[in-house]
Amino acid sequence: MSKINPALTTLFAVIYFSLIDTAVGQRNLKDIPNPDPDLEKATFIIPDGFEVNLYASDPQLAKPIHMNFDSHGQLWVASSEVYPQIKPGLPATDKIIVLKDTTGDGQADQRSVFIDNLLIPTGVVPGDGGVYVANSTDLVHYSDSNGDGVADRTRTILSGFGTEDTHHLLHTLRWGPDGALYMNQSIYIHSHVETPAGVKRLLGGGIWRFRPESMELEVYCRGFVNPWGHHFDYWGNSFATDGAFVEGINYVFPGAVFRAAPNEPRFLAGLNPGSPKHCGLEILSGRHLPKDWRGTMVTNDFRGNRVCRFEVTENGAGFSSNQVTEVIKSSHVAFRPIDVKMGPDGAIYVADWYNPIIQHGEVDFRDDRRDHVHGRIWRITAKNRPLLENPNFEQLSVVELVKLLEVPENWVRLHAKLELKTRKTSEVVAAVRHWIHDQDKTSTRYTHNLLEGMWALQNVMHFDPDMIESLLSSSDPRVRAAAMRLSSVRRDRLPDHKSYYLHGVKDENPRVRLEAVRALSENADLQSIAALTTVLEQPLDRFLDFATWRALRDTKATWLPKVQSGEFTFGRNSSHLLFALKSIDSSNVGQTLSTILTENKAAQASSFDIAIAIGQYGDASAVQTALLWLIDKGTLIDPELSKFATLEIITNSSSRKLVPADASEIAQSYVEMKWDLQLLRATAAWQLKTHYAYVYTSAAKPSDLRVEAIFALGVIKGEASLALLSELVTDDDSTLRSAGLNALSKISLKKSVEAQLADLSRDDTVATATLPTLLSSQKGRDILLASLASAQLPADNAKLAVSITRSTGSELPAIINAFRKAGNVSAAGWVLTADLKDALVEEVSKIGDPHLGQDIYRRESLQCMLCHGIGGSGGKVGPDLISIGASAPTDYLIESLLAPNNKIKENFHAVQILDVNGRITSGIIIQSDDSEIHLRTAKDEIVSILKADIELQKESRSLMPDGTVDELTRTELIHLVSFLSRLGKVGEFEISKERYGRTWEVLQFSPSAHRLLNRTGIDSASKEAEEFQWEKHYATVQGTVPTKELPAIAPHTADNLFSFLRSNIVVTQPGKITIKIKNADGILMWINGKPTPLNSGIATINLSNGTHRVVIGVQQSIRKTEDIRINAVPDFESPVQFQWN
Amino acid sequence: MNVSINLLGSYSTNMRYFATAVFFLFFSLTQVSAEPLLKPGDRVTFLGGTFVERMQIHGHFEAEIRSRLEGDIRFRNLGWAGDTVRGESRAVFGTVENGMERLLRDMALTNPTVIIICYGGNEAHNGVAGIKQFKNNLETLTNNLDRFSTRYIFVGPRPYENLGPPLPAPNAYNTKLRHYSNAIEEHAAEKDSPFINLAALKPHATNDLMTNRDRQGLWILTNAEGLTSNGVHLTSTGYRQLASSFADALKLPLKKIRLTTDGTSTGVSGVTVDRVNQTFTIRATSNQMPLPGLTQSGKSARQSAILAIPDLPSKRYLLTSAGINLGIYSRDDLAQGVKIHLPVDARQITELHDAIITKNMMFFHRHRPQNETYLFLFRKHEQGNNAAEVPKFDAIVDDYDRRVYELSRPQPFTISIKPAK
Repeated sequence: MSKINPALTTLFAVIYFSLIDTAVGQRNLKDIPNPDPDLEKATFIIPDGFEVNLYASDPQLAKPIHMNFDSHGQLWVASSEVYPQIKPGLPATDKIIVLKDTTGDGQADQRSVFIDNLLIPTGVVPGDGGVYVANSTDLVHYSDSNGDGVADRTRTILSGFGTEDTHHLLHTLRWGPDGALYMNQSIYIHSHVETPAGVKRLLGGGIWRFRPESMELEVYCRGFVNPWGHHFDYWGNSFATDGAFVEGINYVFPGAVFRAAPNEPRFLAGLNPGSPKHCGLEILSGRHLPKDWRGTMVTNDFRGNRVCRFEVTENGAGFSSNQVTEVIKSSHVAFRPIDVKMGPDGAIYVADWYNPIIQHGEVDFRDDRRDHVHGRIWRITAKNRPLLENPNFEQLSVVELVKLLEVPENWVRLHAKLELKTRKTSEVVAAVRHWIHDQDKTSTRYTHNLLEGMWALQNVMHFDPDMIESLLSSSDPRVRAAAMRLSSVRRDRLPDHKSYYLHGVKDENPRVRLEAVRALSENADLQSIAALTTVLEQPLDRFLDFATWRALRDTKATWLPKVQSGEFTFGRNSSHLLFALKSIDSSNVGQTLSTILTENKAAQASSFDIAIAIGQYGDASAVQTALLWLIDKGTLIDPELSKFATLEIITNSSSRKLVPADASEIAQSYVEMKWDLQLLRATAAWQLKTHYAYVYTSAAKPSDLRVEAIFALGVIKGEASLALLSELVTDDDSTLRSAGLNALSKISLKKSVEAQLADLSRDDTVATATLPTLLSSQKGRDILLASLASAQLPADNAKLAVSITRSTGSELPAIINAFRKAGNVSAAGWVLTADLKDALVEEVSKIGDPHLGQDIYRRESLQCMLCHGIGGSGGKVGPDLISIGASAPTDYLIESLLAPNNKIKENFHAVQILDVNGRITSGIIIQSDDSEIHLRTAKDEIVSILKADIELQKESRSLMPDGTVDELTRTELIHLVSFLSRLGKVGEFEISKERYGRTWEVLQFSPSAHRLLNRTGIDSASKEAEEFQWEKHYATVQGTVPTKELPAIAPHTADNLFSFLRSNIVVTQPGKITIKIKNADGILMWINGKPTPLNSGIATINLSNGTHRVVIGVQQSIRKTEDIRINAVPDFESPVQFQWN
Repeated sequence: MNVSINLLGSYSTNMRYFATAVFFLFFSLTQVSAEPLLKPGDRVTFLGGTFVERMQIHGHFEAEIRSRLEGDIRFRNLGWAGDTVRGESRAVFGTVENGMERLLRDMALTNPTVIIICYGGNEAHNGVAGIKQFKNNLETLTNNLDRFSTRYIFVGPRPYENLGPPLPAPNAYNTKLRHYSNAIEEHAAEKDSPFINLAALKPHATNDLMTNRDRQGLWILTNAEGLTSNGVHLTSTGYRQLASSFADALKLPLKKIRLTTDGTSTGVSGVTVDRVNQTFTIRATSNQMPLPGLTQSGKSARQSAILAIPDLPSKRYLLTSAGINLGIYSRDDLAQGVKIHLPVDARQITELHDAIITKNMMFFHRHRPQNETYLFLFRKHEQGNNAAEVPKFDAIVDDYDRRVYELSRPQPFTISIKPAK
């Protein structure tokens, strides 16, 4: 909604100018670069054989957000000086600017303002005789009826897009090859759009598909944080990038759901996990660019000041993607590439938003350093290669336009199809038919030309079943997949559509099967649903698995009631049925599952799966049936599996508070069969008084089950339990003490607090395992605080307690102070003031050493790596810091360290949940479905809470506790900030595209590990063994693991110190991989448990699909201080697709 | 001394020529005699989906209603696309229940005396099966709204137009819609409130409409738009054409033109007589607003009046106003009464219209500002300090209300009457 008359708003500005807040942003500006475009250009590093020039610059345009070329070669730019927020009293004056290079010298020499009264327009695409603009809540079409170059006709096309965040607004407008307008929105947006077919709602991020002529509006895919890039490849496959969701290129198909979609339990991952954030996406094509660039995908790392490029190849039903050399790398902090498009001359055009400040959440709306006046369009051409001529689409005949569908330039084919929309449909249909008839069937372009013909007809809303059927039987699976999708979109015009899908789901090509699965789910009758599960009989890759899972979830309302009533059982195929049940959150299908379980004449391995599923989905009666079946029949087939399944059922059903009617009899069977663990668990879960004595005995005497029994004491409670636990909490065995303390806290918080304080006086305190339990309830906190008043603790333990308290994610200053007092520990810490911030900013630039900073960052006591990743390597609790230095000003970094709650990154807002048991959990919601909320806690653990159990849920703050960096000296703090401020900037602290192993597990020293290695030799480190304890370890930004950080084990003699690291390589397309290790002296390698020799640090191995374990042995005496860096590359011309994991 | 002249009544004057001068004003619509549903001093809040939301950017409904009222009235628009009686579109990050809370919070901001409720069109897609639920929800809504005002005007939704393929045929929807309209009518009766059925309103159709602006912001003639752009949503023309019928349904009669005369040397108010040249000037006021159906020639069917002047000395007279030729009439015709088109101050009308739209926009920024997440919701700890800017719009909206009122008040114009050769 923004339509303000310019004449009036001028007056308005005069009247209200006095209201503007002039008190904002008085801080001194720092590091503001000189805006001279030549200086900016001088920082650009571009690949050999290419050059870059300035196409347009301020004052021709300011703050470009999005751009698209029209068929005349004019560049339409949406720009906003109002962003991030309109000021009361000032008019909305944002513009659509049209630029044109009329002389062909690569520089815009014509510029006009088409519209100038917009409010933060975030998308612009020419079409339908004008231009579509995403403006605030509306999609608006503007046109110029009198040819003066200024819009004079305004049509609001769609209304109701959300505006909860001005960088999330409707954006990324893009015509698809199918004639539809695709539009994206980001995570905070809630849209409610009226169409002739009813209200379409999209809550959260996603991509819309819209046909303006028919007003058909559909949600194409859901999720994403900031999907600021979307483009179609040569075959019509969709790819998207995201400005916050760090997985690089994402393969998008109808119905796909990506991270951050509300109320979804599962998301489709991107193709480049650990990438920086991206904005814009263009799939390159055309004869101007060298061959090896065509088909590659360009997107912008706006935080890291670079324009990135990816090679994407087919992989099963989906794709794989690898990053290759950047198009532009820059060290200029205001270079903010945010959109990229191919121009009519075949060059690559990059919109540079130009701003030292990005985002508006973390940095004040009115921060003075925000740039509101600059903006550039850069143009990248290949040297010594001819530029292309833009066809004069308007002047061409229908036949000539159809002929253009053969050219390799994506944009030319697109404009030809859009131009055909304006011609007479019957002529277009006739021309396409003739053109197809005259095709050379042996041409390599033949199959693609047929597809283009079909799309051209779809553009003019003509559908020819014969043609679609012939494409569905094309020899080219890419054509079959595209035809399958079209036949699904247009099922209303294709009488035999269902037969296409039923056939397609059996196709030999996985992507055709994927499209068929989606089509069947949209058909949504029982026959279609049963048919789509037949895809499970062929291999599933992650894309197809997701599509199938999603299809079953989307059709739940159709099949679930029929499964509940027993009328529909997926043809009694239990694996299909279980797959379906796992796709939904909750169900009442116990009866059907019981029937299948008990009536199956020949019990089989899958029967155990059904029994376990009953534990998840069945009611009490079904649970009883399953448990009895395991006792009676299961043990006859496989006793071990029966015991395992029994434990699963008890655990899952008791979390749903189900108790079988014949619980006592069942427990008695466990006694008779000597299923001790099952008996213990059942006794606790079902509160079986008859067996309490057994629990007491097991808890009192040494046995394998003792810890388990102690846990049970806490569940069954009572005087006897209390007495036993009161002794256990003083035991010298820390394992027993820890278990006892946790169990006691469930019976008496008061006693357990007393015991905890006694434990905190010991050197071997178990507080790390037990104190969080006490801190997880308000009552526990109150009692603890009261008891601490008179407590005295060893200083080290008091510090430990403070650190544990902070890691709960709750703000508990009183308890922290009480611990400090009890331990006589001073509370010195950093207090953020404006003066301190300014001084630190100064010192960081003068004396900060990023290398020393990295060492501080890696300190175990600071726990930075436990919570934050850098390029995917590290914890997931906090935001990935891959390009934080390039995106955030130094003062922001300092503020984030010293006062973490002031500015919190999108998607990293914690919530606090109080459950019916009085337990308080703080964490970030990572998933939420019908029945449960899954939180990631400050300890990087996933906690699930039943929604029914939630008493209170409130918004919380950052999980990063205040005081995190209190232990640092001023110099250390400066170095740490210096390190963070370099992350993502060109140089030593950018994440290299080389595929170094970055996430490792390191073998910890323990007497048992030492013994095993001594007994069996170092080879055994490459195998799984209970004696080994492996802990996560992350490489440096440079991809190295410092040897000095590795725990050493001396298997034979004290001089022969060894360390061991392990990681995995996941292969999705088999082939040869070369492992390269620089300076490989003293390095041993095992792959999948086999010693793999390194020849001058290089080994080439042939790997099949699947996960491959890589173990590295490091002989410390030889390496000493040399850091370790393991690089994996595809062997020369190998088709292999892989990633470290 | 100012004298009000009753247009149709007689008055006493010592001015010979005008002793029996009578102005007859004919309006294109019949006058409604019943008690008007809105009155001066009212604070009116429109509530609904896209139909209401887009009134903001077109402004015709408010302009039309203002043109028919003597005195000030204030309008606030709480339209939200896709909304239902449950406030579903207003939920933002929350549940549907939060949507209703938001609706009530925003309603409190508008402090209404009259609430015009325009829902049902979105729910109607649910068909007969959804009727019962709809009625319950509508009842919940008005129970919630009773605390603000019990003066409701319920509006039944418009059927969809059939614009032909590729847009879908609206027949099935329109059948469903009738049930919803009936349900709203029943509820209106229960609440003892008026019901206006948009389905029954005949748009006030005129041809040759000006619907767009040139670079200077003046109306220009463009290709005539239909009533709706997609069968569902009204175009600017559609709003304009429906505005008159809607105002009729509000039982607001067209305002009568009032001539105000001021003292002159002749002692007769409002008329200056140049005895030598036999010319006369009549000063009058009018705010009959032909919006935006201002025709290319500046004429409007709504602006016609019959002017009768007996006993004029010359044979033929030229009538002009603001440089516009109103025609040459004979003494006899003038004695009988001639139909003239009153002049229109296009600038005033344009400014009024723009002021209404800007006022709406300012209120939009007030109740539905961008970046709510940072200003008021779960990221307010970051940019919540900027939330202080939002209430600043209140004063701006109030100022615009005053400006709108000033612009909607009668403005003087002059007709000069000269002997013609």
